[in-house]
Amino acid sequence: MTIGSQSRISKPATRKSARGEGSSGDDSRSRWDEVSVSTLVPKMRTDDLHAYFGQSEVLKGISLQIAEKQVTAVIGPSGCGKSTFVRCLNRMHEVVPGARATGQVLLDKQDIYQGDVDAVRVRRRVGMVFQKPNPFPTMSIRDNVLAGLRLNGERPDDPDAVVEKMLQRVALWDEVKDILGRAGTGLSGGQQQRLCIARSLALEPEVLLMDEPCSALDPIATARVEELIHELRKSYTIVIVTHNMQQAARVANFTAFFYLGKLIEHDRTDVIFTRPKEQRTEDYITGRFG
Amino acid sequence: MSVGHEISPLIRPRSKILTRFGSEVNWGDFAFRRVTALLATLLIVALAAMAIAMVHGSAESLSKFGLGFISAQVWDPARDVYGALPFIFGTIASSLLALCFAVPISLGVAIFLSELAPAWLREPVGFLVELLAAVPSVVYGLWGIFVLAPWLRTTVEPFLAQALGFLPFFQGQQRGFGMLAGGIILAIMITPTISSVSREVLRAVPSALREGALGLGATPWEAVRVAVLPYARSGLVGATILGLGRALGETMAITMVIGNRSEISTSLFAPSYTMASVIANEFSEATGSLYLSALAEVGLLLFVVTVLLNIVARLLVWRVGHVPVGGSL
Amino acid sequence: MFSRYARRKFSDIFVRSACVAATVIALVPLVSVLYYVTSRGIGGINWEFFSELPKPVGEAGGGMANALAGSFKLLFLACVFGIPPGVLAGVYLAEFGDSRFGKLVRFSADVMSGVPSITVGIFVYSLVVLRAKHFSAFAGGVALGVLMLPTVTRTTEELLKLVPESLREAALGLGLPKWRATLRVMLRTAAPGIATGVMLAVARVAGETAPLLFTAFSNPFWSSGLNEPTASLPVIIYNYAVSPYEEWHRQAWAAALVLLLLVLLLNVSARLLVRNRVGVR
Repeated sequence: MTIGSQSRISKPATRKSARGEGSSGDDSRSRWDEVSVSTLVPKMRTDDLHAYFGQSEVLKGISLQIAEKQVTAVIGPSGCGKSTFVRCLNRMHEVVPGARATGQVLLDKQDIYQGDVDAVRVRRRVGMVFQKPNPFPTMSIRDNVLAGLRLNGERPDDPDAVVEKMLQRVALWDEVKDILGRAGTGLSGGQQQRLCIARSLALEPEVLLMDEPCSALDPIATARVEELIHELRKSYTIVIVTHNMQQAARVANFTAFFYLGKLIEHDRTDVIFTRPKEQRTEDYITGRFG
Repeated sequence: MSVGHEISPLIRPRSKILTRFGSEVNWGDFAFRRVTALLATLLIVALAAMAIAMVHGSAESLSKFGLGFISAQVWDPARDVYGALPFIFGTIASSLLALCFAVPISLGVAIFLSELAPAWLREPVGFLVELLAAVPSVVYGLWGIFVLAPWLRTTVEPFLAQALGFLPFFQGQQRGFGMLAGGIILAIMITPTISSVSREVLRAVPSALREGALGLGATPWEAVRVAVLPYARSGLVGATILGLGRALGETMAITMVIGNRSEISTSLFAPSYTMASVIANEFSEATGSLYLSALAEVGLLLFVVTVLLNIVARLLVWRVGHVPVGGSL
Repeated sequence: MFSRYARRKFSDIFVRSACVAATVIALVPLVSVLYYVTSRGIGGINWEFFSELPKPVGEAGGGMANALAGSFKLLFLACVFGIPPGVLAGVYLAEFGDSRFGKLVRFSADVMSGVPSITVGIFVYSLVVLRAKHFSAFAGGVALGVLMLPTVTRTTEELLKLVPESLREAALGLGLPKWRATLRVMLRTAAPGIATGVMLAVARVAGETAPLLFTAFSNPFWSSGLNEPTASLPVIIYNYAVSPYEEWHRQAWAAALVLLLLVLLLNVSARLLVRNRVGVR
């Protein structure tokens, strides 16, 4: 399934090297080359998406494709609409009173903004991790992991197995396996954020949205979360909003640059950061503004 | 990664009923909003019902006595003649007397706790003052009967009669029970109200004002007097009015010490009767619909006055919190 | 210059001392009440007090078992009538209350909390007692519940609003519908604070006498079920205190001690509850 011409992914002919240099299991550097653009499957796609807060238009016609099982970073200066965009992907945008969106957002070719779609069900398939870690303070670590299931009335057959599996997946198990009963808020910032990721993963979403997940964390915690994103990429489609360009360069396969509510450029990360096609992109990444 | 559970379809058909009656997508949200709204309405309904019930109950008395009810002095159940003036007098006089005692003391407590006390003393002392409000009214009444009234009769009233007996306030037989006892016990009960609201009001004053005055070399008291109090004035008045409202509605403690005799006198030693007390004493034994109706009308008067005072007080207190800094200074 | 400064200093010290004096004066009655209730009440506390019914006038002895039971029954009813509607109304105000309707609800709650409790008694009398043609525990419970309702509502609203929105976002992000997010996450987080507010409301209502005078009235015997007049601690204290009998006075002090302890216990527990939870917030 080729990606339509609306996105600005470079055509196969100009691509440097074909896939094969390293499989997705390999470490960082060969990441950009391993993926063949022409075989990318869009997990999600937006089509002329506009978003409003009351009268003010925050997103002005975004048409963007999110590739499956890849990490797409959304970068741009403050106020460019990147958080709003990502929140439209799981219909969290409309939670704010007075907020609305028009256009299409397709999850596996199904428009999630279509009339009869239940936002609650969308959010089961498109999970979200927030900027400030927000584990539930009245629950233990164990209960936090299971919260998504339990609060929805589901009862897993083997809760302990689910807890262990999820915490293993976020590389938190060894650190907390003896203190599962402690309150979720009793952990360090980085641990709390990984706990929140585990909590989202317990619902087995297909897409994971991350809204500046590391901006409240110290560098070491940030590094661990970035490691985690590398791992998670094998199984989940990830969209990460970040104001830190180095982070985008480190973790993302694709990067989209937003400016003043518009999508300026969307391409493989190495292209964006080494030979951007738009002047504004180049200005941003070289630090001339933002 | 394979998905371990069945993906439920994104589309969820919306029931026609839901679409017609509301904007919610699922039954849970629909019911949640409406059930909670219904219970919120209960508050409005209860208040309205209270007002209506009181007017309805007083109807007979209202039509028979009209406005004269307020100025008539005779309350004689035997002859079915009712006038509320003694009770109105008793209520107002005892409450005003209570304010005379309570306002300076409460203000002193409020200033002490918010401006002058060292930090470690604030919480315990504040807690003790709050505890004054926790003691049930009937326990104060009990204490009033067996401790306060005897003390007044044996110690305070003779002294006042001796020292200030030329004033009409301190003449007459000294029983201990009477207006003075009522005023004192009401004062004790409204002090926590006035002082805690005053504390809040003083706390709402921006510290920049206080610090500005101190920076100019004012003593702490001068800073309070010049910078804080004028700003907080309307709020403090509001606190006083809230206290007044509480005093007017207080029933048990005052019934137990005020003597319950419907006479109007200038002496503080004389017994009196308040609106709440007459209702408490006579309502359950009232025979005859006019009697009950008259008592209900007394209750209606009390209700209306306290509601009005409450509204005025809240407006005044609210104003302090919302005055912008750097306004007219 | 010197004397002016001395004068200012003097008035500063004078006013400060006056404020301290005012505080001391304010606390004297508290100390006195606590002292007398304890010293005169403790003598009357014995097994008989808790287990026996009041004896007829003139006979020595007897207890207040029915009043104790009656008070608990009335408080239980008050909680049933006052807490669920109050909490849910508070939830409404916190979630949907930014409208004219919401302002009206808040106004009603504030006004109701300032209404004299005896007028609530008259109201419930006309609503319940007149219709049923007899006094009852049910009527007493309704009266006390109505007294609790505005406080519980406002407390719930205020505490819910304090819960950070990030928790609601987390809940919604996990695919919870709005009502579940509010009830099972926001309300649950605010629960300890709300419980404190409720306990303080119960403490206040436990000592109320006036509204019971013509709703639950009183009863020298046990009252069964909800439809009979019921004795309660505050009403018995009042009746005994104004009576001419020494024996009854003695029992009134004892009952006052029990009532005071109950109220203080609720007050202190409420504050401890808040203190213990501070860390979790």
